[in-house]
Amino acid sequence: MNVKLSIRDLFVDFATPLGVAKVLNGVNLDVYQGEVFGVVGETGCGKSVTSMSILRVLPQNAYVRGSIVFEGEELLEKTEEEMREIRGSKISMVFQDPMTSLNPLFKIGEQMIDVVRAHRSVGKREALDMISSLLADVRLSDPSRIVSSYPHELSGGMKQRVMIAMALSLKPSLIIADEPTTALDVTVQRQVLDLILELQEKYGFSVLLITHDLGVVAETCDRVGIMYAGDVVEIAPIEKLFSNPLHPYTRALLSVIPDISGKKRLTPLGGSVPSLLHPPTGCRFHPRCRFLKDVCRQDKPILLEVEDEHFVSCHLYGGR
Amino acid sequence: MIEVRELKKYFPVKIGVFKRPIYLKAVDGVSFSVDRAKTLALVGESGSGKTTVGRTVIRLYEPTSGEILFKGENISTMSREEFKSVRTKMQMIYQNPYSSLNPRLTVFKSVAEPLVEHSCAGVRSRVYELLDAVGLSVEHANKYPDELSGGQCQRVAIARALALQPEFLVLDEPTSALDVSVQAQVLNLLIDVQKEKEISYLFISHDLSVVRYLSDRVAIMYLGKIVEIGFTDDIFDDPLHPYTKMLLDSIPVPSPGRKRGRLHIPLGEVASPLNPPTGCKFHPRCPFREKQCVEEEPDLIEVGRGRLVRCHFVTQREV
Repeated sequence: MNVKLSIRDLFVDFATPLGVAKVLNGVNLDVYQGEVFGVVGETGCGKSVTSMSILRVLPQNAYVRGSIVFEGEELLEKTEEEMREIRGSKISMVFQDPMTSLNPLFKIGEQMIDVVRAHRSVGKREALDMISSLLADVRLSDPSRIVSSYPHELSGGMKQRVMIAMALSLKPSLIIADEPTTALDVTVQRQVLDLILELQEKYGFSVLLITHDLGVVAETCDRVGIMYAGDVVEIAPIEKLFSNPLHPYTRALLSVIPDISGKKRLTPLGGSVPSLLHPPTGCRFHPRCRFLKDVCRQDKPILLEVEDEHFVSCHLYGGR
Repeated sequence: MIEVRELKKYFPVKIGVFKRPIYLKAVDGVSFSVDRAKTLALVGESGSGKTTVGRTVIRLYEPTSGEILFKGENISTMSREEFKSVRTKMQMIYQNPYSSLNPRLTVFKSVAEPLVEHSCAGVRSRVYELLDAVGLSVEHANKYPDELSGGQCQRVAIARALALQPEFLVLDEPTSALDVSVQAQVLNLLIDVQKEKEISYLFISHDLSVVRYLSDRVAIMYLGKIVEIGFTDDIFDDPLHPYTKMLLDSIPVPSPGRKRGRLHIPLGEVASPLNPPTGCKFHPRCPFREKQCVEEEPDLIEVGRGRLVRCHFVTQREV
């Protein structure tokens, strides 16, 4: 497998008035060429911070250590100038809320032309042609009407399609989609997910899909990483993750989703996500874990490949 | 427990300065009933009118027309004064627990407030009893909402709603702001509370897997009208209305294998409620649409045990 993006031992700390929040605690993951890789976790697990670190758009109070290698180049050593070139043209991003990602004061066409012309020296007419074909790509009928519309004139689903068209406009090789369908209704969500997969097949880019919804992951991703309180606790191809989840947190996550096909009493996970200002020692999941051993309080387990392509970071599987 | 007949709620919308208001028919003739200690779920996408129904039923909005019967009494025509005593028996729980609690009141004061307001005796012991019932301990009592997690806040909101021993609760997306692991805790709590106190729930949600878990019956809403209503298992096992089918097909299921091989792809988006389609409101998105659907609005017709469907096609099939 060709590795497109490789994150190693990524630590991110935030200086806050209350102390240092240790938000990423040594994240390791790879995204392969042409795959959809899902990152799943609950609020505060660090999934969005991971994506912001890749694009180097973290706020000033963030302190980053580790390595992020994209297409063989270390992103953390790039200058701001070089990063600007990479953002948009090689790595682009689709955000959760399409309503706030578009400027309400400018027509869709103007905003899209700006994106294209910021990176390519093309004339307005040429840019407009590119945009029209992009809008057709994202299955927006009547591109000429869309181009001359303001964001408020479009529905949520249409705006998210515009955002995807913008993300695609410079033919990036990696798209980071941060909860791209969370703000949408289910029937629209289904259409947007189908669209992302269809375009991914057509253009062959890799996708890093960040979501809290295991249903979305099951239906769109090739592989998935589960995050908890700043750690990647398990990485597996999706079939393996659902048929043979190894980490106690992954198992708990799978057992708390209500099943659409029947009524079975849920067994909730006790406790709640720890504060990252004072994270638990050792394995950060240990205060909520049913299989707690002494070693879990002391040592952080290492992410180990326990079977082919199935990684887990837990002392139950010898992660020392 | 509660019965709603032909409930309508129209909101006037003014466009331009001199133009006469046009009416947004948020709820347009909705009828249903909720039995004691049972849960009816109202399901629909944004703009379907599900939240408006929930708010109108407890008169947070005044109904435009229609009847709301609470234990046989018509509460829609009561004066504000008369309604006050009934209203204590009907409570509401909102989506965002942080914004439904007063940030300047401790947990104790939040839960005690309705008791003090209605001059109940033994406030202190009653508050601790309520906190215990929702799985919070004494040490939480002196905390402020911003010191609690989302799940804990929602528990406080539930304790507060239970304070006056309501018989009917409107739950408006009570878990959609919560993480899945916390959602499961709150869902189980709601189920336990219902069993113990025999409260009826009107459960408003867009999340169909949660609906299946919690409800006895389901009403599917589309642009202000119920398009299908019936027992939860019947609807999930054999959806009859094309919209219900589309909704159920759209839910991402957490079991791999369905990837890139689907039967139905939903088409289009919900029309604006300001300018709804003619005939059957769903016809622009319906794969089975015929001429009749464009011209004529179907009635909600009984097709089985407690099962009503609003579709020309289904009724014909049943006949």
